[in-house]
Amino acid sequence: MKQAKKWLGENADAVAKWAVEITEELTHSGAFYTKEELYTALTDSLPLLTPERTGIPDLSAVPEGRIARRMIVANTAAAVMKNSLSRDFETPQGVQTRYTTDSLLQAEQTIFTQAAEMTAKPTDGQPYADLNDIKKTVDQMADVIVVGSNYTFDMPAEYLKVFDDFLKPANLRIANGPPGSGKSTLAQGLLFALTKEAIENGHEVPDFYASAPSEKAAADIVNDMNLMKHFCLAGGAEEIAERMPKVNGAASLDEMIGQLQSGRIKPGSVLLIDEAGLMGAKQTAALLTAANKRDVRLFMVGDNLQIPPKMAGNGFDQLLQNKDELGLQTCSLRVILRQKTEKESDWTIDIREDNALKALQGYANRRYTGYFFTESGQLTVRCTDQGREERGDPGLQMQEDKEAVYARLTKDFIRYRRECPAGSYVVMGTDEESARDLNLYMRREMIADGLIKNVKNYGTPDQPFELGKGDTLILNSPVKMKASERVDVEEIQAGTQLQIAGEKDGMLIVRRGDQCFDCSPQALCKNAKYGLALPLYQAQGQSKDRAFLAVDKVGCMDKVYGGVAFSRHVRQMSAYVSKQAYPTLEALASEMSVFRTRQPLISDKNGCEILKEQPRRTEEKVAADLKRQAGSEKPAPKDVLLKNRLMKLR
Amino acid sequence: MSEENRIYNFGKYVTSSEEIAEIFFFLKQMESVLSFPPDESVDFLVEKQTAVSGYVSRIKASLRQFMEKAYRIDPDLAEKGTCAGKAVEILDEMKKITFYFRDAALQLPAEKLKDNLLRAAALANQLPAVIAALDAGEDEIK
Repeated sequence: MKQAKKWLGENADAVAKWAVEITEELTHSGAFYTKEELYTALTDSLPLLTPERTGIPDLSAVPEGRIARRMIVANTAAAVMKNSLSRDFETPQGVQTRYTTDSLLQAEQTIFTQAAEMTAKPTDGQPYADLNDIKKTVDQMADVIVVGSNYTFDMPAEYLKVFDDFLKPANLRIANGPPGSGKSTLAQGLLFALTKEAIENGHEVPDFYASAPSEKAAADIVNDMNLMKHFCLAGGAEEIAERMPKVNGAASLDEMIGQLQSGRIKPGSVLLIDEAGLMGAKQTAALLTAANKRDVRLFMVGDNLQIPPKMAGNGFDQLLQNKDELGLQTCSLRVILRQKTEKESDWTIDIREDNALKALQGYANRRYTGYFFTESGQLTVRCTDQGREERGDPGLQMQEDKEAVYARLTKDFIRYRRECPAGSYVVMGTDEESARDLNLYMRREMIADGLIKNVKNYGTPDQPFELGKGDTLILNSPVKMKASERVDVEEIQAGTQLQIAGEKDGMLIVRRGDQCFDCSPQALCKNAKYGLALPLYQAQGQSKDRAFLAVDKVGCMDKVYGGVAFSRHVRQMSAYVSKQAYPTLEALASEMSVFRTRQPLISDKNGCEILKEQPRRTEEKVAADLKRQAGSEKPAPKDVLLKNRLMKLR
Repeated sequence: MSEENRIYNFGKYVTSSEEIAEIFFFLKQMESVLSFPPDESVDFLVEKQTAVSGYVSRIKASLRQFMEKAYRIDPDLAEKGTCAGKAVEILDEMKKITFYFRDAALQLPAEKLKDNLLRAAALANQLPAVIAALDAGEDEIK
């Protein structure tokens, strides 16, 4: 005991550093941690405090013995919990106190204060408050894009309001919307409108910069914005093209923040950040601080419901959730063009906006009663919303278990292929394992039905790999293939879906869309797997006439994945849900309402109270507490000893 | 259906235990952290390694709660060869691989960080079956 206290006291600063590192580690996988998680993390890392792992030699001589080590953990944990920010959460087991770290709290406080400052600062605004003005600008831009890029640019009427909101004077403006809702066009529109405005009003055109959290997205947004100049040149807006500045990029967002911090970007410049939903809290805090200090106008576009590659907070989501408190005007891109069957684009929005039950009930009541083709050759469906009608295919149906889900989905899929061979489709499992099981089940039934034929084993006796005409594969790694009837060879990327169309001279003929390639069976055995059914993360980006979805387990359908699953179809949704996984629609909707990771700390009215928190300086306070505790172990002063002796004598 | 008798179906594994379900949720989330593109930066790999170390602690804390509720024992005291012992052994090994202070981790070469993540992923793959067996009561039979 004494040894443990002595060690804690002597190494208090290093122990406090260890404790804070542990809390940082825990908040990489969620904003809050529990007491039990803190104890476990401290206990398990205590024997690992070597100089190689910590960079601190002081911590390595940890006292031996289970009791001493337990005491070290208990005292450290108590000091951390006492000095950390905590909140009470309702859980099935009752109210539970959870804790968070200073750095995450400070980052979110910084985001909040910097955003509030930027919103309050004067804007030297542009005259875009009038919808008529913006309409003229947007009409001209649409003409330029149509002629310049040679593709039809249908500007939905609702979009005009989005442009208007986005271009209103502001030092900080954010636009949030799902993939395919026109965020890149918004960025191009910003460059076009501000250049046009500067010409018309005799201002200097501001410098433009663009970046994104991922390197690929950073390069893409700079290229997309610079294309606008070519559109203007080709589309008859030479004057705007001539004055339009080149959009500057940086290799990464961190580098762009560095340019701001070092003063290399002029005040008054415009900085556009694409894919802003991928930023962590700390990166967002650094960006806002640098942009505010440099008086740069910051435009952030993104999707707060993207599958996140980075952890530790979600600054973009925090700004969106606290827009009212911040007085921040945001643009919500709600125009979804993919779902063409009535009400279904609204249901896609419902899932994004915490109203998944309405969407699920809508699909459960929907009956698709037939297909027909329009004069232009587009597939269209007939539907009713009479859930009790037996005729027609339901948009969502509950089945007893996983087997029943697979059986009904496969039966409906085979019928669709027979009745509507021209219709496109996507089949989805919830995750990798579900997709694999569903592929095996569907293949077996499709072979029995004759949709897959001439099946042969192209693998080895030890590792068989059967393929037949009609099989669908997905590549695990890139494969070079020769285009059929041509000489050129193309490298087909990993993740590409291919269909086996036949066999000729020992080579398999595979189809990707309208193109056919010759490929050796060995290359496919080595680099591909069955790929008719896709896991949700791979289905992201698909857009097909009909979507088949098997929901056979829990834990895979939070708000982000649910949003992907119910938005791949253009005309018809066919979801099959296992009652063993989700006994009711409410249970599924409840899981689809949760954004499992990266929830910001300051995300509701109670959370806003966190802003009033003074800097906590947990590390410093933990060290002070540990030193104080070690100090209390010192022998009692002489006068106390004397008093005790006198008491005994009495 | 009330919370008490809710069944969590994770495909191959089904459980009615909140703690075991939580472990499976964490494992699912950790899966995405454990994968990385080949040209990833040291900074990003350190983020991932740190996150995995955090997940390991969260999983072990849930395991501890389950063991205390179901068997009234600390999993660290579980006998070797039992499911609980095996789960602890895997988690401790993952912790050994991934636990570093941030500044020390930033000194590691990218190849070492990648190797650490791959080794941790291989160990994580063994966990679902062990946890499911523990939940199914295999240790009671032993």
